[in-house]
Amino acid sequence: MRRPHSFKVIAGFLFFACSTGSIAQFNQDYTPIVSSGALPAEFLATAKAISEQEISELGSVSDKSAKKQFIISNNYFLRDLLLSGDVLVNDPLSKYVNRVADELLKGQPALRQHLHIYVTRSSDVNAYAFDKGFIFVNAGLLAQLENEAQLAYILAHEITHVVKKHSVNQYIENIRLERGTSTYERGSSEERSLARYRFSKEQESEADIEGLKLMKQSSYSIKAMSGAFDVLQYSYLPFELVDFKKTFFEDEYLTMPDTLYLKKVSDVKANDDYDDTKSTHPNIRKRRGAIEPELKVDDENSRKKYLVSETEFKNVREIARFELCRLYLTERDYMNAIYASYILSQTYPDNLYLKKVMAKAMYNVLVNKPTLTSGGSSSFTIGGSNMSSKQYTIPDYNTIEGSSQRVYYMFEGMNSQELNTIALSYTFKAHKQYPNDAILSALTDSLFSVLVNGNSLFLNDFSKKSKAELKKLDTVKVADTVAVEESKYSKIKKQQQKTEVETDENFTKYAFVALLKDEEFVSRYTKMAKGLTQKPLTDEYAKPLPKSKKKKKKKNQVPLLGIDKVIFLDPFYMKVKNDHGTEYVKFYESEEHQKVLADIQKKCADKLKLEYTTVTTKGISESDIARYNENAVLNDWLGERFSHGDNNAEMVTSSEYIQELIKNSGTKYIAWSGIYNSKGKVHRNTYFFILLDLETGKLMKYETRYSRGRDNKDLITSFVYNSLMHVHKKPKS
Amino acid sequence: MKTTITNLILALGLLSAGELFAQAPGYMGKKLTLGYSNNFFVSPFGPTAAADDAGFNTTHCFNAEYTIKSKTNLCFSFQTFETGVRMNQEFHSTTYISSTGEYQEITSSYVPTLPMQLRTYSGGIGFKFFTSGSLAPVGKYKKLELLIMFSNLTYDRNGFRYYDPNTSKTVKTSIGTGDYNFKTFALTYTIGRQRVFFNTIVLDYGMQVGVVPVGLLATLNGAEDFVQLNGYEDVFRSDTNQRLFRYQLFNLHLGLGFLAF
Repeated sequence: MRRPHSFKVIAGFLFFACSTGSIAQFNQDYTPIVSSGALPAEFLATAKAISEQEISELGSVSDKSAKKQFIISNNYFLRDLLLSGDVLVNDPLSKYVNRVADELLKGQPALRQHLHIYVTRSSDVNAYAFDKGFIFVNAGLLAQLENEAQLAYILAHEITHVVKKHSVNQYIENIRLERGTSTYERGSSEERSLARYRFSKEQESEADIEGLKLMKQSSYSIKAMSGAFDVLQYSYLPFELVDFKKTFFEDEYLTMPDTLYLKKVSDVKANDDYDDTKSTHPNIRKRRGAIEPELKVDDENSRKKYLVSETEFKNVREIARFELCRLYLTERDYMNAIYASYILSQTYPDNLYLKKVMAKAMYNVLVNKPTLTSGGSSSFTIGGSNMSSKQYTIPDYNTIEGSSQRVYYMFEGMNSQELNTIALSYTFKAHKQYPNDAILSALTDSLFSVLVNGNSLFLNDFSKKSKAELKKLDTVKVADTVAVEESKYSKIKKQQQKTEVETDENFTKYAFVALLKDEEFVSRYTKMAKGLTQKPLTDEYAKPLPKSKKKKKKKNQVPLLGIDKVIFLDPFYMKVKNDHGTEYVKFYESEEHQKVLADIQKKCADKLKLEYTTVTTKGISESDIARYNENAVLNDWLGERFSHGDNNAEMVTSSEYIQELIKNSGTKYIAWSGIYNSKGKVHRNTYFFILLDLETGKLMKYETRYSRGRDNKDLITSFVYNSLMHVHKKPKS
Repeated sequence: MKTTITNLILALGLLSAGELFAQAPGYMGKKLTLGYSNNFFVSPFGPTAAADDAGFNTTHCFNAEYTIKSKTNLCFSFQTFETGVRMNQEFHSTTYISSTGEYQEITSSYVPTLPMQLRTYSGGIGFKFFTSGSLAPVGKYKKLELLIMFSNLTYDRNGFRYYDPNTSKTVKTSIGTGDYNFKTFALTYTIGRQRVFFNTIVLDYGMQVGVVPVGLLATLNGAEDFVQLNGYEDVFRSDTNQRLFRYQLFNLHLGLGFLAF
């Protein structure tokens, strides 16, 4: 008897939860999604094994050589993608997308069984397909969609690519066009080059039309899906357009000047009729125009926007949006990270994850701004080699459309001291709200560190009294009166203060009025100023620059690091045949040599008594999901770190997720080496070795060697041993 | 004086090596290579046997190399070779002709059963500089070496003949002691490549050009055909130096060694 009542209560509660617009699971925090369960079979077989099998099944077909080439490169590329960690397995997003595919292909079970659909961690608003039935949908696309029907149409479009074998056809046609044997276009080389794009566009148009037919066979609303082209057209914009207000960073005392706030933002004016001559896809106007006549269906009323679940769609989209914040950070798109977390903060103001995204983004923007001591860009020579400097600069706000333009304008307009103050104020408040969060605490210290060591701002540079309080004080008032005994310096100071109090000038001076009443804030600030805090997130601002002359390093002497244990990543090995300027990757040989290099690495480490542990996806098994996730986290981290180049000051925002790996490995140092061997008239080798500190992101060693000649085992051994020797050997005290 | 210079070079080499040992990786930590190599090439001049035979130069080299910097080996070598030296000169002297009461010039020539034999022992010190992209002891290299050469020339001192106008007969005569020792030096420049197999065996191959400065001068000055008998020792010295010059001029080399420690 009570049961119906309970159901009503629960249903009522659910309705209320949904109608409020926020999803309860995101109110407090968000944990990035990871793969779970058993790894599917397609992740386990080696690319070589699959390629050999597929080639043996080819039989006698036309363009056999091109098809073989396609099979091999396709399998190796796919394998790399599957094991990169970017592909999510058994996660809420992939599960949902697969359920949409189930609905879409209800009438075609054989086709459905052939498909492997996954969501990938990428902010690009895109989906793509491989001939072998693999379809990948980026999280960036899911974050932008309006409804489930749009997702279904995008899947239908990709499914058409699979069914029509568009990839292989395009690959073969490209080869024919290159050789001039294509019947599609036999004109000049320029005409043939343009024909490639034309061929691709024809395939895309076919996928649009055929995809629509597939949609019509399902019960999805055709009207609802038509907005999918809007999603594509405005894909360069953030997932929502929310007015950005500077009050987000302000408090009772901290007031940012209006000069930092862009009064009028540029209108969104995406052109859908752009020149697509050299584009693989027709422009949006053409695509929309091509399918519009086909959109009419008689049973539109019986069709639905959501066949799986609206709630689930919204939940999945919200997850994707949360993921996007992190992806923007790892992709070094700090402005979008700030704006995305700002948008989500409107719904989830207390979400810890969003606060951390905001704090991390601000910190990394800050360390790329010229400070008093750095004077701008920095250049490092590590391990005798230079790594190209990669300073982050905020994109020009004039190129941005919509409300996010204000974010670009504001952060571009702030100098280092101003941004440092704003970021510290925001981060410290977040830290006070979540005192147990290690990242927020470390970020606070890091911001204090930049404040003291980079911007030379000390406690006495900040006012303890608010502008209002100062206005009331006599000292300000008497500045107008002429006191005979007052010195001219005192008068100048009073005049300056008066101007500050009455205008927006020097707003940072009053930024910490509230915070200076906080004991912890003052204590941490004081400690940093005295050089007592030793562990900020990145170590570039940890200590003030030494005033004494640095000991001149002996020329060509590589520093010895004295490291006892490292994590080895699967080495990189690529053998390429250079045939008159066209390069062909020798996949099989590359794979074999990769194993050789891995063995050499281990032998050299053993000889040096350098302890190591390896993170590898080689020989991964169905139950190795932990290993798969470990690799994913590491790849994320490395991708982000490499985008920083030699910029040691910038924090690797994904370091937070790598702590477990450091703990399990017993070391915080990761080594990655590789060889690129190109065989043209002569053999050319490029060897590299990179050693990074996973905790701070510091590039400890970067070494490259170029040589001519075969990539013999002894040559590689000498390179690897040399690199590892410098890693392991202790410097003379 | 030469000994002092040699000692100084050795001392400087070792000192600089000591300072830089810490940075040198060697091959899997092994820095000392011991080995044998052979320098060889056809000998267009100064054959080892009869005057008109083509010859073949071959030098036995025993090498010890130590990796002192990541791209530099300090090299010591002991080299030896043995070869014949063809003598073109005739020695002139005057003799009293009793029938005429005048002095007449007579010519002695060397008609031995064997050509003059030259044995040379050399001590070498040098540096191998591995090219960019290589690390000692693997890869392409350029080597500069200074060789101090100790040569011993032997010949049949009784193998000289002259025509005696007094008796109208060919008479045997003796010249010199039959055994002379000379010292000189050479500078060599080698380009080559080293490979390591099984982490121990070192294969070394390349080509070498060398100059024996004294021999070069002797060669440029050309051999005097007309030599006074009392200048015979200078002629032997000059012949030796010319032979050494030609021996060192161009060689291919092939060697095998092992990484000791």
